[in-house]
Amino acid sequence: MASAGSGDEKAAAAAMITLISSDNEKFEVTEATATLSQTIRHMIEDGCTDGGVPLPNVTSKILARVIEYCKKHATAAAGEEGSSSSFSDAAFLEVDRAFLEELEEFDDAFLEVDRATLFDLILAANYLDIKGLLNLTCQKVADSVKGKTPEQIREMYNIVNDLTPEEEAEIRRETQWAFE
Amino acid sequence: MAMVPRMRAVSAVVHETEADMRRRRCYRYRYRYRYEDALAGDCVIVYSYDLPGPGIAGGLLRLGYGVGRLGDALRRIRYARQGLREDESIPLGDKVGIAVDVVVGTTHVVVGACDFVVGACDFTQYARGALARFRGKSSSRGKRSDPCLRKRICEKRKYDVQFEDLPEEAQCIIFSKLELKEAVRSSVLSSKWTNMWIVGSKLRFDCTKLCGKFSSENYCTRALNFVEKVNRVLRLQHGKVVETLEIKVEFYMILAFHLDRWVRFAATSRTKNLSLDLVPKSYGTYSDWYVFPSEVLDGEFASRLQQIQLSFVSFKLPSQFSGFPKLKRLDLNLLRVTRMDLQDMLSGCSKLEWLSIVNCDLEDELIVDRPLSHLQYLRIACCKMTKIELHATKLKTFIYHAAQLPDFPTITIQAQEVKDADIAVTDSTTFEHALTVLPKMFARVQNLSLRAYLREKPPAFLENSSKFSQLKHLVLYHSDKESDNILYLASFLRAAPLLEELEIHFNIKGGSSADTWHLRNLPKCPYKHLRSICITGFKGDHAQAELLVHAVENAPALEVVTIDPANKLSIYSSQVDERLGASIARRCLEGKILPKTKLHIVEINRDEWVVIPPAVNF
Repeated sequence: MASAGSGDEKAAAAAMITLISSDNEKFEVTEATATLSQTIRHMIEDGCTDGGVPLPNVTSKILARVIEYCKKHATAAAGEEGSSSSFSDAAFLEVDRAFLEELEEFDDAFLEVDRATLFDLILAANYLDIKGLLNLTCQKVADSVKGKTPEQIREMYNIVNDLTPEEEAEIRRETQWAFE
Repeated sequence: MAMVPRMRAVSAVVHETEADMRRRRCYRYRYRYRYEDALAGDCVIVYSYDLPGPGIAGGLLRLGYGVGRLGDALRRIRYARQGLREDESIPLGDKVGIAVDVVVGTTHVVVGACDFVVGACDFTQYARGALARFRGKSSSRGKRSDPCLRKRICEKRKYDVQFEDLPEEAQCIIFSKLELKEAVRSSVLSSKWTNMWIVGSKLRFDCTKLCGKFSSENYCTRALNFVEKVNRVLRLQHGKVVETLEIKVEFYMILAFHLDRWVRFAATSRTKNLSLDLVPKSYGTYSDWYVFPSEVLDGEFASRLQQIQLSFVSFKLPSQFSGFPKLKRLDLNLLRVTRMDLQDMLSGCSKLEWLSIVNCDLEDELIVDRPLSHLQYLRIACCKMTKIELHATKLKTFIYHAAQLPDFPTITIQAQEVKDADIAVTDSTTFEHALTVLPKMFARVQNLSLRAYLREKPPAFLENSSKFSQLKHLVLYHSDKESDNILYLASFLRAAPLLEELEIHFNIKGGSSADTWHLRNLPKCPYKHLRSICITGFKGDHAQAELLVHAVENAPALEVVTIDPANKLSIYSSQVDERLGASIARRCLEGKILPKTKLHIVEINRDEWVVIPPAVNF
């Protein structure tokens, strides 16, 4: 209980946030990691994170991945913040460059998931309001569609074509220019 | 026991319904489900009358089976909880049994307000998951009065998320990342998709992407083709909010009328970001520029705009102009505007953070009296202006490409806070001048990039008074025939006591190889912080070798030296010269480089050529 803790414990507890997934698994993360999510940031600001933050829309499987993302990117965000306020040394820039590359690799590997997981990640990123993750996952979906024929896209995303041949022909006629 | 007959009614409907089992149908009809007492959330079973059930015989069988089981489950609950009210409320804990029964049995029944829409496929697996979820939920949290729990139950959560199920914001982002053509193409996927792409509130029309690369085809036809496509899309967007409208097309007089209409469309569609990039390929020969319909800026439109990009536009302020109070980013390229209008325009942008003025020949002064206190980024390139005066105390990045160095009185900006500066000048200038003007102007610069023809040995060589007190990263571009001047580049090292990284890109002719035994020694001066030296275009010229040796010998903390003989500023580079450059670099550093310093000499025979396009034509 936070109220029962001594000063020291309180300080330590303040830095850590417990996230609770829909299947009731608990995840301990640092505040820096958690606040990548605007939703959680607001909760922290409102001071209603005692006893953990229930995230009823996110399963433990997805939450674990989201946290993995946030941990990695929290470091980067901290760096950015630091650079804007006290842009200090070039050593940092150097590290930053290497780190950005690493981050990119991480992101690429992070996106190696099946479609269902990807969509779940989008839902989670949207619900938790994590801009970077939402952008990243949406980019992945957009990239997967690029250069594909409608048939390929339908197959990829389990879309059943319920248009009658006449309807489809009509739409094709209207959008002919986009197929050129 | 009203429940069971109603389930039977469902069964009857199902029996008659001609429908398929596909999940998308289920999704489509979801909104037609009738929720009974949905607000009670965690204690309601919802069932529907009009759902397209499993139309095939097997499905019906299963449904019947489900109804039977459901009846049992209900009965069990009734017995267990005598106090159950007439409204058939069932407490959450008990719903587990029912959920599973229902899920396994009837496939389409929605349980728990709108908690689950059960797909027709693979529902046994789903049921297992649902059961696990319910178990986890009821065992750990127990109390169903928990608002969170109720929220969860009410949450629309489906078994397998489809693209259509993604929140509109996400769809919007995805579509905005697609080329317009690609987005439009998605309309043939299915009925659900027909208009889905319209959610995107960013519209980018790029003629090259929409109509292909310029070909022998008559330009007029191509322009009209573009117009037709844009109009088609805009018609669909009518009455919607279009946050961003970007148009990129080579201007042709025939487009003027349509561009006017598109700009007005933006004004009525509550557009925040407007971009008109109309630069024709060879604009020098053009006499007709697009005249921006200024009257649209009279009203609300101007106060809504956050980003403006105008290229190849003739611009006049409306008579009733009251500024761009929300404008953050202003990108002007080839703008035809009078001095007064540009001044008034900039004075009206109190929130401006990013400003770029390129190729705008004012042939006059630009003096903005009102402070641009939010301005962080300023680029002024290739503009013929006699004088520039801006008050931007928070400026962080300054890019200036012109004939001469930014010097008082031609340029007055408060650049004390500038961290990144990129200066390129076309007129030749002396070392002395550069080393006097630049440290004074950019007192706190940390990253400096300088392209200039520097000449003449600085008189007080190596004893400059002004210093770059915070410079960490210096990039110099040097293209000069007089090789002696190269050595004087060392005076920049002297002027930057905290320098950590030095990059020099040479664009000089090769052919004269250095005599590595007879290198001039400059007076010693430790560059204590210098960690990295990178030189490209190293041809093995005598002065180049001297500069290199001087820098390496005076840098006790040096970690890495990279020498690339290839000329990065020009695609012309002879392989013979490069081989020579590499071998001279190696030779002159022999025995002079610290053991801990890594020497990296880029060998030739690379397949890839990286050319840094010079921003100013040397």
